[in-house]
Order: sequence, then structure tokens, then C-alpha cells
Amino acid sequence: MKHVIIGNGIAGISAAETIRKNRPEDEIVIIGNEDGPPYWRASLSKYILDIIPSQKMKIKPDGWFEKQGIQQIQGDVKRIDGPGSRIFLKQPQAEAEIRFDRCCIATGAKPVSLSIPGSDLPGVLAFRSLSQANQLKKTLASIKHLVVIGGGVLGMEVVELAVANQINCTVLQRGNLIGTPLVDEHGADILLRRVTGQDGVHPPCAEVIFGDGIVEFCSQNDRLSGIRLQSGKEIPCGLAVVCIGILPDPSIVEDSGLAFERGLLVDEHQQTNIEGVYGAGDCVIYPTESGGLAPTRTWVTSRIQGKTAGYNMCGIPSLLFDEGPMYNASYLFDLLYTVIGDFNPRGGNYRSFHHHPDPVSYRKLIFKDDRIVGAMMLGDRNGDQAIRRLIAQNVSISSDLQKQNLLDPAFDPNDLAKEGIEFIMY
Amino acid sequence: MEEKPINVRHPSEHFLDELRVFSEYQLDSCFGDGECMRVCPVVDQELLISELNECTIGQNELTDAVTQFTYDCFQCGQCTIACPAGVQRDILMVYLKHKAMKKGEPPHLKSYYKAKGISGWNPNRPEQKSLGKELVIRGYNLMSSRKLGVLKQHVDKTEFRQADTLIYFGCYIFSHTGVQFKTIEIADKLKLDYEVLGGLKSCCGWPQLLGGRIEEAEYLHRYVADVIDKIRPKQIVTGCMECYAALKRMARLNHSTWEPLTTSQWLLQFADQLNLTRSDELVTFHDSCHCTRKLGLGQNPRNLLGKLYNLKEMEKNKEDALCCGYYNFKGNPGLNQEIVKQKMDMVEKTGAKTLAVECVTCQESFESAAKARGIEVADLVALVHRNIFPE
Repeated sequence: MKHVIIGNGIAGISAAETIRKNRPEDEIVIIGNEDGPPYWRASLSKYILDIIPSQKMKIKPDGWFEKQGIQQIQGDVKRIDGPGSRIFLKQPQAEAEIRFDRCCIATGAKPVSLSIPGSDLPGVLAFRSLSQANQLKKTLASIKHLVVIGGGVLGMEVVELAVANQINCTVLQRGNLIGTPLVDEHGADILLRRVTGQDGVHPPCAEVIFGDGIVEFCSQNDRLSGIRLQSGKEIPCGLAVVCIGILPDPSIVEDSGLAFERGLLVDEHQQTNIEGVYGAGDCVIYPTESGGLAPTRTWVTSRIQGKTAGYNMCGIPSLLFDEGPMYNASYLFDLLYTVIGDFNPRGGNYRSFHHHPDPVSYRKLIFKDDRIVGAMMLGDRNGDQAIRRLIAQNVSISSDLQKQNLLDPAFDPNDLAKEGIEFIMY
Repeated sequence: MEEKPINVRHPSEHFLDELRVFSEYQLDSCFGDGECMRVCPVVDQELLISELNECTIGQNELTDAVTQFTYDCFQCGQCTIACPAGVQRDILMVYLKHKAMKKGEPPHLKSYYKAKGISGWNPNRPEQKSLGKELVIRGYNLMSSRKLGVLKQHVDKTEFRQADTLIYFGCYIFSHTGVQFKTIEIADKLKLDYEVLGGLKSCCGWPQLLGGRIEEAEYLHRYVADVIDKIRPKQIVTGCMECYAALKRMARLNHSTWEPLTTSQWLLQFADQLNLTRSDELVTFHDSCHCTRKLGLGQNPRNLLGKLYNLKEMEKNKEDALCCGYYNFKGNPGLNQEIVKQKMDMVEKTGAKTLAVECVTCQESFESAAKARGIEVADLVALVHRNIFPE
């Protein structure tokens, strides 16, 4: 059987790896359009800061693809013929055709750009790929003021870059919350206080402007010199980084017969509307129980989606999150966070329990019918693995006192053994 | 078609199965940040995380570089605390150690295992049934028991009486530190109803578990749990944090009614009864990796020390504390000495002349380097003993 994977990011690699593990004899082809081997996209800021050297940015060791018998092709896909089980490449030769038995589309997503005057000026950058990171690294060394457009998760990473380079920084954010969607309202407030120096941990790291959108990138000598806001305010800057989100590129599925609506539509098996064609990673979107559509664009979910697609491509029926609930943990600015499962639900019969041990940390647990279904921790995430296990095991905790106890950062996971929950080792 | 999950996410009866599954699903969260390796006191900083991850997956072979790192890993757990993605790398390293051990004992660690009396492991026969192994244990017990005096009768004994408290020494019943005798004297002063257990056959199995010798560890856990069942204690006191971790696991797996206690937890129960007196003498405290980083029990020893002395924290303390490096004490003395030197530098900076510990292995690791600098290393039990039995 021949498996073709389009996209060599973490979702694509995870699919290829899973197929190889389960089907040693099958043919696997992986198509990627970036120069160089797959890299740790989520660690690009540490690469810019020279904390991670370039040789440590590779996801797989040298020679891995050859050893696994996975053929790599560098090039862009021109068109997918879903029903005909064919892929046409733009490069290396026009109309090159690859046939497949099973295909996984894992093409990721592209940064959303602004359609305003000056958006193509040198000095206006996105931050998504290794080549963009290299550009950013080079530019940071020569500027005095940086404007970050978008105060979400990626925007906060760019603020960190500004701080490390001792550059003044302004963040523009729509609405009145930063750090979303990984934090709720209260978490956003903690983050804002940290970034703007109000919590006293750092001196102010950035000015945050809410609800005053950018209308123009201004130029001097054909280079970015500043930005102009709706209010008329002008901010001089040598670099503007646009971090207003990512979206899958619909051109990949044009004339393919594949259903696409703000993302490639897949079910919980990662299967698209065409049999034998799967999707994984940032390019996909799921129908939700309430009839809407939900992307889950994190590093961990991309990996799990890739694995799930891989199993199903091998004919081993698997469901998304068989491995456990959605989990994501890292830093938001310099605040540790963990989010697990359904951590910010809307509507329904959810109850949330909150704990604010101090002004710089916060934790929240979400229960549905006494079952713990989600958690969010910011600043201190002690015990998050235990909570992750509780959510994975769909544990029912009836008393409110026990629910409150779980919120205590000092709780001993071993005590949960009384609830019949087993933890590995400690 | 019936739907089957990709992985077993519920704990299996067999620890190794769970460990394999756990390792793989933990790696899903790794995004190559590399902080785990930057804080590691032993890894070669040239080692790539991609190589380490690749070797950790399933049955993949270990490269030479990963094998070396696997042997050197102290199991200090700094990596797990540091990981922004919440990956429990120390547990993943146990799985790697298991895979490395399947190839045979590394030559440079043989002396460590010999010192622990656990050399000659046959991965296919963890039940210790081989005559050679039996003879090694008997010979070690015989030789080492000569200086044990009142404790000699307790070495790997098979007849027990029921008691409310079990004082569990494991292999540290043979420790040259003398802390085991002091524990007994305190228990006598408190007029406790207690039973004692120690010896190589009654080893807690934790060094084996952390060394990847999982089948052997499982066997020992079952053996010790069976013995404890005969004694029917309400609480089990141990002065070794590895033993404590093992007992905690046994209690959990067997749904036991007894509760393991560290010596500080135990002594704090009797703080009033012991009439402890406090002096202004400056003392600093070394957090054992298990006590504080892995089990979150770092406050108990501080509470106890606060009743005896003036506690001055070291530069790196609590979760950030530097490991004692005992694992490489015998196996890779160079690595051990480097760690111990850093620790002694930090002790000196506090101005304290006494370094308190709550784990026998930490004391053994520090002793000679501390002595050379005029620093006393003393177990909490020894410090309490000194307080209630002044010379």
C-alpha cells in the first residue's frame, strides 16, 4: 500500500512514523515545501534568542527518513484529486503525478496578513517559519522599537524577544484580553499585569493598546518607519510583527472534492469526506457537538492528530484523543501554563472552581455532572499531570470539598489513590 | 468494526507496560525546547533531543551517546521540573535505563550494584532464585551483620510479631552512619510498639526501579509488601527517601491500610513528647531529590529543623536543589565529585558548619568531601538524637 503525506511538520511526521511502525512493508512518501529538515516550530523564539542552536532544531536525527524508508519530496502540491487518488506537484516538475492508496493532508496553516497600506514593506514580518525566524533575528539587532500586532500566544513570544533584545515594545490587541485563547478573563488579567509591570515582578516590558486598530504601515526610504492607528495616533517603529492568527490555505484543496470550511473538515478518525484521504494538524477543523466548527491548533494536538490519522490509514481504527484529553503546556510570556481538556467551555451544565493563591497565579477546574473535564493553570502548575490523569480517566468527584482540595497547588496526587486513581511511580 | 483505543491509558498491572505507553504519550508533548538538557547536571550538551526522543520510543535501539547518558543519569528529576511542556523526563529515563540494562550491566556501574548488593541480575529471572545470587546475599548479610549488634537479629528475618509501627531500614540497616541505631533508641525512648525489618533480601527495590531493573523491582515490592502484611503495622517509618517512595507505591498498589512516614514526619508527631530544645546554631539543609522534587515533602524536615536550630537555606534549595549524586558515588566518581564540590561550596556560603540531610544515601555521598572542609553531615534523626540524649 502506498501512503502519501502532504506536509512535513509535526502532524505529517507523526502520521508517517505511526504508519511505519505498524506497516513496515508499506510505501511512504512525505511532501514538504520548506527548505531543510522538519524543525521544532514551537521553539522558534528560543532559536532566535540563541538558546537553541540550529543543529538542535531538527525534530528527527540526521538520516532518520532514510532509515525509516520514507521518501521525502521537496515541492508544492498543485492539486489533489481526491476521488482519483492522485496528487499533482508544482515542483520539481510541473504536473508531476503521484498516486496514492491513502493520503494525509497535513499542510498546516499560514499567518493571517493585514490588507492595509504598507503591509508588504520591509520591516513588516510574520512569525511562523524558520525562514521568518531568521529574518526576525536579523532585524531585531538593528531596531529600537517593535510593534506587535496581536496580543495572543504568539504575540507574547514576540514581546519576550523584544525584552531580551532590550527593545521598546508596543502590543496592539483587539478586544480587551491578551493571551487568548489559552487563558480566560482572569488569566488574561494576570498576564497583562505581568507584561506591563503592574505586578512588580519585572519592570514594564510592553505597552498594551486595546481596541485601537492599525490602519497603515508608514514608510521612509521604502522601509517601515512606523504605524498609524484608527485614533490617528502614530507610533514610530523599525519592525512590526503581525501575529493575528493562522488560517489553513484553501488553495490546497481547490477542485479536489474535499470539504473545506475555514479548514479541512475531518471527523474524529481524522477522515475527510473522501474515503482514504485524511487530514491532521493545523489545516483541519472539526464539527462540534453544538453544530459549530472548532480547530485545535496546538503542537500536542497536531502530533496526536497525525498519529490518529496514521493508525486509521493503516486500517487500525482509532479515535482522536484516545491517548487522553487535549493537553498543552508551555510559557505565556514568562508565566508557566497548562491547559487540559475542555478548559474554557461555553454554556452547558459546567461548574468551575477557581483558586487564586496569589496575585500572580491562578488555577481553575471545570466539572460537568461531577466529572472533571478541564483544567487551566497559570503561574504555578503543580500537580497538572495528576489532573491530566483524572480528566483522562473521566473521574467523578462528588463532594465540593474534594473539588476544592484539587485546586490546592500543594495537593498530594497520592491521596487520589483513595479515589481509585493510579499514578505512575510518584 | 469495534473501535479500539490507540494506547492503554489506564494503569496496567504490569508497571513496565505502563511505562512503555507512558513514555510514548509523554513524548507527544515535547516540542524540542531542550530546557531538560540544559539543566541536566550530567548530560553531554552536544546530545540532540531528537536523538534522545528517538531512542526513548518503543523498542528503538539506543545509540552510543544515549546509552552513555542513560548510564550517567542520576534520576535527580531536575529535567522534569524544568520542562515547559510538563514532560516527566526522569520517568522516561527509567524506561531508557530499562532498555539499556537489557543489554547487560554496564561495566562502570558494577561496583555500584555490588555496593548495593544487587549485582548479578538476570533480567529473565528476576525472582532471585539463582543459587549464585542467594549466596551473594547471604554472604553479604553475614559479613555486614557482624557489627550490627542489636540489629543483627532483624536482617532479612522471616518471623515477625505484629506491631503498630514498623521501622523499615531496607539495605541501610548496614549503613556505617549509625543512624539506624539512633532511630531505634528514639523509638525506645518513646516506648513505641515496633518491629524492625532490613537487609538485602528485604530491599525496597527502588534503586532497581530507578536503574531500569523493573522486573527485579516488582519482585522486591511484592516480597516486602507480603512481609509487611504479616506485621500489620499502622505506620512504617523509614530514613531513606527511596525506601519511602517504594513503600508509598506498595501501599497504593495493594490498597494497604498502613501509611509510610519519613523520619521527619514521624518525629514531628512526637515533637512535644521529645521535649526538643532549640539553639541558635546555624544549620543548612540538603533536599533529597525524592523528598522535595519528586514527592513534595520538603516542608517537613524544615519544620523539624526549626525546632532544633537556626536554619539557613542554601543558594539552590527546595525544588531547585542540587542532587547528592549518590547514583554515581561508586559508578562514576568523577561526576559524583563534581556535584558534591558544588554542594559543599553552597554549604560554605551559608556559614553553617552542619549540613542536615533526610536520606541516608545523601549523607554517604557527601561525607568525605564535607569532612575535608570541616563540615558535619548529619541526618535529622541524628540531630534529634543529639538533642534528647546530650553527651
